[in-house]
Amino acid sequence: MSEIKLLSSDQATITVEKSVAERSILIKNMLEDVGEVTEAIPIPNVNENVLKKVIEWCEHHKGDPPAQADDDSDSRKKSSDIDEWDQKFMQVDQEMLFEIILAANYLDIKPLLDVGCKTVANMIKGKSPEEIRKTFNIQNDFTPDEEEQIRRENEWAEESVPRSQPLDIDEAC
Amino acid sequence: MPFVDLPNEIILQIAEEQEPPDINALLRTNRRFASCLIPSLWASVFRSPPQLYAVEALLSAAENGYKDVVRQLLGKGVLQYSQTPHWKIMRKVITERDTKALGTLMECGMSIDTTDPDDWTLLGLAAERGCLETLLLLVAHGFDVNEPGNFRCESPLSLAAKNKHDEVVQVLLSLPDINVNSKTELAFNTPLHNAAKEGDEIIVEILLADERIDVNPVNSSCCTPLHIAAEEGHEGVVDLLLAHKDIRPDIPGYIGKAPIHSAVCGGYSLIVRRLLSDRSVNSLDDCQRTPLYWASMLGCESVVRLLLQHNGVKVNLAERTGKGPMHIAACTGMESIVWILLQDERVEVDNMDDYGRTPLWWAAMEGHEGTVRLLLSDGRVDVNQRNNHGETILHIMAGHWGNEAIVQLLLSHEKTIPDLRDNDGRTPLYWAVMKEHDSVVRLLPGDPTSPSLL
Repeated sequence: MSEIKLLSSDQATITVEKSVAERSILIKNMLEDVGEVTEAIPIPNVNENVLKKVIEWCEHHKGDPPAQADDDSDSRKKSSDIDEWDQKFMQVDQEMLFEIILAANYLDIKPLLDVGCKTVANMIKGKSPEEIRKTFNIQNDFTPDEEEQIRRENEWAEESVPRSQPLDIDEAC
Repeated sequence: MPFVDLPNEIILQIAEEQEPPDINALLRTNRRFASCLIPSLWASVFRSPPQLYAVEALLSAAENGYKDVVRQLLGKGVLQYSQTPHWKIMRKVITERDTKALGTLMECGMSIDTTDPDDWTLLGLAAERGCLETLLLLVAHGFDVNEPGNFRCESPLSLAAKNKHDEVVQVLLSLPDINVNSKTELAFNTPLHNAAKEGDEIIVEILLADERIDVNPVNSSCCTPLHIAAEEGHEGVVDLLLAHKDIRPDIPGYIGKAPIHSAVCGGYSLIVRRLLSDRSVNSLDDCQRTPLYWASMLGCESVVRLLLQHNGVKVNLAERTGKGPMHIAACTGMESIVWILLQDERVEVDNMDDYGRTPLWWAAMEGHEGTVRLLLSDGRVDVNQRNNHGETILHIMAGHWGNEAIVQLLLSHEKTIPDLRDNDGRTPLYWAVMKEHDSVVRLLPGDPTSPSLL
């Protein structure tokens, strides 16, 4: 069982099983390109804390079948369908959650990116614009006229049927 | 790492997981999200259940004039995706949306021509709702303005007239090819009929001002607009119609009733006054009933008085079975009318109809005690008048009817001869005994056991 080393942005070296690290398509492609490496691979955009979280996720999911390329709407999972382990894994503060998402994006770990985005989507679900602003500390920079116009134009998209209950997960975040 | 620092590509990915309401809420938080997420919002239509957002999204985009979005949605098959019948979508466009929606959809190449299951056309809907701009847009696009607008074959003009959209009527009349006198199926109503029925003076005036108008069209109930306005009590409309140079105010309508009959039947004395003429005052319907006859039957005092004031009125003119106004008032027990007629010396109070019955007979036979009392109080009424069998009204009341109250009334009249014999030699007492009306027997003079009764 071969291992490789990763060097975080804050200069921490983390040793990880090669097959686990290869959940990252970025690392996988890199290893394929350069062959055997002994020195630590620099991951300049991800700090130690986040990198450890990401590796934790990769370890748990190392046995997952590879994601099917471009699977379409039918097999597509709904945002509410996050498995239990992932839900627990994502119970971190907002700061960390967004760092994980960015890291997953940078390292090209599609399933982790999906889980992250779904988690954020669930935090938004059922909230009003004002509630979302509060949750994420977003500055309202519309003029009242703009705000009214955009509300009117998108009226069609407003809640038309009662939906299923919002998930608890956003409470944790 | 705050949320607002996430790059757009991540924001877009999050939106990929959302349905329209949540994307909408997020993009309404601030400018950056709005500009980044609007395309996602339109695209999310196809991730939601078909009936929820597809049609509304398309129509909103069209109403806001977002042609690119409309083209994109149409290109992605939003119509099929919505699983909504084409006519339902178009009905929404016409009835719920600004004309701009229709315009955008047409510009973007969406096929709009359709009729609903009740054969409502788009023009028909627009005319019914009074959507002038929409209607003009459709006409400009080559829709036939005379094509029936629905299953009743109501033309757009007819529908606009019926629903009081005067501006639409005015504009339709300005179109060169418009059929001003279009008729509906089955009912054969013209726009003028419709406007007259609604009592819409503005529209009637607009229609009458058009040179092509037929002012005397007859519908399937044989009624002209004047009949209808008179029957519905629309004075102003009656005035407008009567002022038209081509009006024919005496056309026989339903069961031969002239417009004046219609006004009488509605009880509208002001309209009767307008329609009253030497000719109309004695006009006859199919059963030869005059306006006075109808007014007497329906108990309309003001109309009866008005008609009696007219010099040319024939107060005793009888209908097909020989009954005059006095007969019918007595028969229906209209005491106030009987009283008014009794005051008029021209009225004959004792005429017999084809069954040999006088007004007194009818009042008695129908059991109208008050009317009987009124008639008996008039010196001209012959209480002993006999029918073809030689019977007096007392014979009938004592025998066949056994009406104690009316027998009493008749006996209290000084001129009543209580023991007249009919053609078979029977007296009222005989009949009362025979029919076992004991209470009546006790009222009548004479010995009920006497053999001379026979």
